[in-house]
Amino acid sequence: MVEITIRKRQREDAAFTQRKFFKKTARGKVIKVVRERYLRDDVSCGIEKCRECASTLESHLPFSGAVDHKLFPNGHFVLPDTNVFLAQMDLMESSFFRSPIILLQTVLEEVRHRSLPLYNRLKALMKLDEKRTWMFYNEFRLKHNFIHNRETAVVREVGESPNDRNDRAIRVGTAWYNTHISLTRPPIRGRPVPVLPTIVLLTDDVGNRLKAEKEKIPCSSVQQYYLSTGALTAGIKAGQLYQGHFNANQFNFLEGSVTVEAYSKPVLLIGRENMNRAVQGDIVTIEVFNEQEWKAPTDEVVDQESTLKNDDADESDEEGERIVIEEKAPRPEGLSRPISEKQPTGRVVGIIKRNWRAYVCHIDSTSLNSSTTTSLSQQTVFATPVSRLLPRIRMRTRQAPALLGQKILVTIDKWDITSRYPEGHFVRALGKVESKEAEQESLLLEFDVPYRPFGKAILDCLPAEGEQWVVPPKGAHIPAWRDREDLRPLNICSIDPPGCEDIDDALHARRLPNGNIEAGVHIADVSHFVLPDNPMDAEAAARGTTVYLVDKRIDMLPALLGTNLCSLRPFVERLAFSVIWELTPDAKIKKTRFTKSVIASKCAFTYEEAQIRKDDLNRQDDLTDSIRLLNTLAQKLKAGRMAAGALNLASPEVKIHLDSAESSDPIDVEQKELRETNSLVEEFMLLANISVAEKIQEAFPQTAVLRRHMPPPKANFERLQDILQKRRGIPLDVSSSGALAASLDKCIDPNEPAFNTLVRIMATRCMLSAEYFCSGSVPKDAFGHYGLASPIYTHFTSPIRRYADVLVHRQLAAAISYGTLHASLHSKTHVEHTLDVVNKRHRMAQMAGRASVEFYVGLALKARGERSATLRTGKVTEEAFVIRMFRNGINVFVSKLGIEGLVTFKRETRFDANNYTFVIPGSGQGGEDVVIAVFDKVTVSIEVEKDKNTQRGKVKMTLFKPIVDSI
Amino acid sequence: MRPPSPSIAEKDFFFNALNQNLRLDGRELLEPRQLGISFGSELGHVECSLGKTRVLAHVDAKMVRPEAQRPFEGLITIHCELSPMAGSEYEPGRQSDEEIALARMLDKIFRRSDAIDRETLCIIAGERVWHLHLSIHALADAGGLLDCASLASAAALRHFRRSEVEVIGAREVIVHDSTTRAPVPLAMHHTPFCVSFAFYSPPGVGREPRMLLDPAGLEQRLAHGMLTLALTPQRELAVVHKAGGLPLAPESLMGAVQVAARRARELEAWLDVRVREDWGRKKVEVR
Repeated sequence: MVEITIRKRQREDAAFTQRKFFKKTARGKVIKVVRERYLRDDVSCGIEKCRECASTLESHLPFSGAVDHKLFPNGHFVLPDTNVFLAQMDLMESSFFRSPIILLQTVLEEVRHRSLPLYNRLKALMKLDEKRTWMFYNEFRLKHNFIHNRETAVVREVGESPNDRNDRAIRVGTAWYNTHISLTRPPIRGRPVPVLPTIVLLTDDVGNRLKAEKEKIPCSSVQQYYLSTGALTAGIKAGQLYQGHFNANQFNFLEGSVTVEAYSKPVLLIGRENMNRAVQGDIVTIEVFNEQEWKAPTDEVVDQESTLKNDDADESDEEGERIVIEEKAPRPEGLSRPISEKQPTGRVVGIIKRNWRAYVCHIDSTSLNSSTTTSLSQQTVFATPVSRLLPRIRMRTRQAPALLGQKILVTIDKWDITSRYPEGHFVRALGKVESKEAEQESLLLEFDVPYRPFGKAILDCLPAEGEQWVVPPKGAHIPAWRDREDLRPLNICSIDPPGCEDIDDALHARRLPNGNIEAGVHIADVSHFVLPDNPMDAEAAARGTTVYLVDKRIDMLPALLGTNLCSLRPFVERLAFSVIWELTPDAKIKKTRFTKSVIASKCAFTYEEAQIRKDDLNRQDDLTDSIRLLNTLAQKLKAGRMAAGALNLASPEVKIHLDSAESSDPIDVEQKELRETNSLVEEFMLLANISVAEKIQEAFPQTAVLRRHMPPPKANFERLQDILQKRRGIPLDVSSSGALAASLDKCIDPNEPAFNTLVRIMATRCMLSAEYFCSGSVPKDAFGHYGLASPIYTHFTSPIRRYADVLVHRQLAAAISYGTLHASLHSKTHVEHTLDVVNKRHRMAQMAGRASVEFYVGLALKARGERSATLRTGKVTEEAFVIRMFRNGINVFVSKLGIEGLVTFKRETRFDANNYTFVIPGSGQGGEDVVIAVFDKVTVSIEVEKDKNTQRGKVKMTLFKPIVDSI
Repeated sequence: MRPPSPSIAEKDFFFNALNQNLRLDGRELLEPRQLGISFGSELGHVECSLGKTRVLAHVDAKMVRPEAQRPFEGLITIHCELSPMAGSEYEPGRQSDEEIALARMLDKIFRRSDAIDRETLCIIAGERVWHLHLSIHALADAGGLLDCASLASAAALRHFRRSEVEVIGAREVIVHDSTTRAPVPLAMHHTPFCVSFAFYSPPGVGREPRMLLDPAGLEQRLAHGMLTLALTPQRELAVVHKAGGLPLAPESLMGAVQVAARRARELEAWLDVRVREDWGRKKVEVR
């Protein structure tokens, strides 16, 4: 007879096997539920060749897990938490995720309860051969008596929520696996210690992860999360975290930097994980790594378009393996880099403020599914912003085919933690690419220039008479004449560029009986028309400045004021704000006074006309005499400034002549005009600004609106100094502005006259930019203007086109007791905030102006290229100077066109970072090596090619001399 | 209360005149009635008249949550009202068949033909979008109500400007008052215009049916078949509506389409001039 053994379950086990609880049904009845589960002790762990667990027939996990991950060199298995499946199912399904997976029964059941579709996908995943998943029934596993004491079947503790119980079960499971492996492969005496693979708990739940770390379970998280605001503020206060603006690197989209005060160099953020979804311009909180982990900035050019062109817009993203592959691009570590090159490196832990706005983009044509124009289905496409600093934006639209080839405005809505790209939506279309209107509008939008027409409320702020307004006749009770001096008899004249309509300033000078000279600068009295709390004032404050594009001018104030009522036109009376000095013949100031006035300009000269008039010895009238006096004084003033160490830096001004015919070249690069009259106006404007600065600082030490130029940090010049020393043997002394000016004067190359200009241009780039500031926010020794070598400075002389000048006018008027100062200008926070806006607008306006010039240069180059193609005169070539070196290319500056370009090498090259040279082996005439170094003159061939994807006309430069570098 | 069917005398008189290619009000067969338009003080408020038929159209915009399935698109609703003011046949409070038909046609013409770009009405995806509400009130119905209503709607949509909205950092939305910042016109892909024809059976065998453009009251009631075409000045057909009635040969239909295309271009030119004139008068923006 067969022996039957009846084994009775032991009573102690009842605690694990039975679960009793009371449940309330929908009808309101209370029923008692008893659930029993039966535990076994032979639940297999699933690893191949495990000594203990009987290996069953199905696929099991390899002995050592996956051995190719750098964090776990001995091999690892992954034990995912529920949230990983719920949120990143695609990652787990992807063929890139090759680690063997241990699936706990707890996890499977949780997934089933949360989402049936995901559960189905998970089951399908398990069946795949290449996936190597093993289902471990941890709920059924009983303790094994003599080998380990822990079970994996876990009972809910009192007060534990079901979710926590599951989390604990998962942790217990992971811990059990790790001990199981170490116990089943004990070291045998005489043989080498076997290396043990680790089981890694993969979870995104912060709580779970922290608890796991406490219990010493190896774990990892799939992606970076943000810290809570409380943690962020605490970290900042404690000094461990820092705050700053995030700046993307325009040459490498996987790198960014944040400038913080605590470190002299900006903190680098390398890699997508460390940048953690920050976008250019956001205010972020960062954590800085230890010094051993600091890296040097990359010297490789990594282009977002070419690297990511195979990304699919629709796929939800795969972090993990894909990133590891991309970022294996070799970084120059340790050895060949001097220590000083290393910069603090860190990562973003939180975003304080997003500064997103609408961006001008093109639709990436490769990301479209169907390009039939009648397709109205919703598609997810990529929009590539025109600015290189921004990431691609994913957006859904139904008009994608119609929008190809157009410039569009897209705004970002959010950037999920699971997503590689930010998501956004379509705002409006600007027009076909390369059409005038679309390009112009796109330029203005890229730099956030407010260009919409003024509203009706602004119109109501203008004087009712409109164009017919005149200065009212003098009278005791006329409000416009209150406290104004009548300077109409004076010989005042204005000197401006040709074609100038908004005349801000006018000058005069005359001899006094006591031998001194009275000189005066008169500025348009804009603050008489633009009163604080006006809608016009609010709009002007938002605009900050007038923007000058090549073919258009976006006014800060309505044209009626700018070109007529405020403009100091000749032959009419106008209101003005005057600064009048009594100067010795040596141009030393004896007395200064400020007054509101009424003037009548006698003449409006251009620089050239004034120069001619001054030089014309036949003319001896008062007006000409006045100009000559001003000139002599200006010369002395300038000499004084140069002696004090003012800098004379070069920035080439590219002028575009729009009205020249197609055949002649519209581009003309002019250096700044060097006529005496230019210098005259400049010197007196500077003098006026300085005098006003002193006055308002004295009157309002807390809230005066001033302008400063910080001395550049020595670090900015390091590279230039190094290059000059190594290539030309010229030292550059940057200890003070005077020393720098003297050094620059000595940078001459007798063979190359343009060398000095080139060095000046490069020095200009090392400078910081000047900015407006509020006097109470900054210590007095930081007031100075480095470039002008003046201890204090402000902007006073152009209120028509700069808002800061309007504020200065108001403060000066209060300082001379003409009127009371508006309450807002007594508040430091308000002034700081307004100046922030003005500074930003000023920067944007500069960039917009430059971009406009570049656009026209591109057009002209295209025309030239076409012309040379038809005339078969060969490629368009120009001389250029090398100004910067990268690992895979050089940055050149074409002086004749005033543009920069990047030349990447297609051949084999050897890059020597220390000597700033590139060696191209065997490419010279006789087969010798050709060496290209910084400051060398080369010839490049320039063409404008239309990028297929972005539809941008890109200036492409290829090396022509010393070697022809073609594909 | 429905007006009584036309009397036999009226019918005979009409058809006799038609046989001689004469219309009751002296127009040519393909001659439309006089157009008139006047703009209210608000932007988007328009009263349009076609002969004696008068329609009032008003466009309004407010910010709402978008639909869950279409988080990137704004909403457009069209609402029509034919009150007894328009004619004694319309009863107050009850939706007459004509009202429903009118609402449906306008919906097809303006909303479903994607005349207005809805994606540009999005402010924050998934949270806030513009909801445009176009309401039509018929003031007087003397035939051709659909033509007049669609012209009024097109005018109102062209004339309307919504306030400028600034979104900062994907969270804050600032709506600027239309006096401080100039308001923004709606982005329209195309402007459809509606043209109606009335058809009458041919007088004899083997002849073609006769076609009248812009039928007035009696002509509409006596028509054997009605054809309504909505098209853009660029010769794109938006809606073709022929519900029953006299069967038409393809040549007649195409003929009607050609006439309608010319008419649409005329309407567009006329509307453009009038809208611009009114904007200039209102001084909507200062440059």
